[in-house]
Amino acid sequence: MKNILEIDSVIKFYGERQVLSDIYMKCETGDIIGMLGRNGSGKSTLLKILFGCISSDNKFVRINGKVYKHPYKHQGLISYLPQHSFLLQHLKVHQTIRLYINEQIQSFFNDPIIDRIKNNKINTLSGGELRYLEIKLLLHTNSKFILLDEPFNSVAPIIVELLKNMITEHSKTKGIILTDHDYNNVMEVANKYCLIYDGGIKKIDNKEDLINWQYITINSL
Amino acid sequence: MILLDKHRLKLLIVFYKSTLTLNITSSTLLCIVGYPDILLAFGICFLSGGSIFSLLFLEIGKQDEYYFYYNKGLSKWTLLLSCFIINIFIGVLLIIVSKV
Repeated sequence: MKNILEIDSVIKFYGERQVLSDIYMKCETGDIIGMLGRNGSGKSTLLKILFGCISSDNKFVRINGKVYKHPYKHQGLISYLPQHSFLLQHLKVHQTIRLYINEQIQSFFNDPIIDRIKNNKINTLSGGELRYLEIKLLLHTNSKFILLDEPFNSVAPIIVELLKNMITEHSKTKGIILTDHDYNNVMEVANKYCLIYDGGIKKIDNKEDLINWQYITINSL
Repeated sequence: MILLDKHRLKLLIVFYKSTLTLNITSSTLLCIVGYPDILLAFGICFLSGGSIFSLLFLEIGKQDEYYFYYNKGLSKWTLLLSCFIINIFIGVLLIIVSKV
């Protein structure tokens, strides 16, 4: 069954500064939308507004035609990976997994990386291990849509490849929106692209478009 | 209705436990001013100042951990309100026991 997420008419001011103006975005099951943008362009703000944990001056979030003011309060709809770790530092990995995952726990522990760290405390994990665990946890929830804010930040290249495979695999049953400054990996894993520029969303088809919108220079190619 | 969900109730308990150490510690330190009615003072501190102090600490120092609960459908309002209700219940119980 295809689920449809739409965010419409998003306007957000921080004081006098308008960060987002009349944004519209649609994400369906099977979509992996790579959202790019410069620092301070409003990528994280848009994801948080979509999730429902911060307010906006205007917005409509619709999932399967129904409008939600705070989508995150309705289980099974949407999950969000923030830029900084959201896991409880004092818990162990296996405790965290049992709190978050109801089904397929054994297959979760069959993962060699998870098996290696399962008895470690969250606050002893490396940045890459933490990010891997967080993304795996969110992808294994029953949420229809997953928002990933800088999933590849501080992650070793080999783990990035594993994460990309995981994201692709789970996109069969979920819609995924991700944003990261590692635009090469974003463009490799995503099947749709957009750029937040000057408060609005620009459709991107290839890296040349990123040059046109001054996100990268021609030397970056 | 959220509290009736067994899974989210478990998470609520995890959140509550995360506030307990600081609440008990600060209430213990504060209740000394209530000497000799230590238990009465502890009960009052536990449901008031200790509660506020422990939740303020989370608010300032561990903001990102709220996403752990948001991702399971628990809002900050639900977490804080549930914490206060439990603390008031325990605090009142301690006050009653101190009067006996």
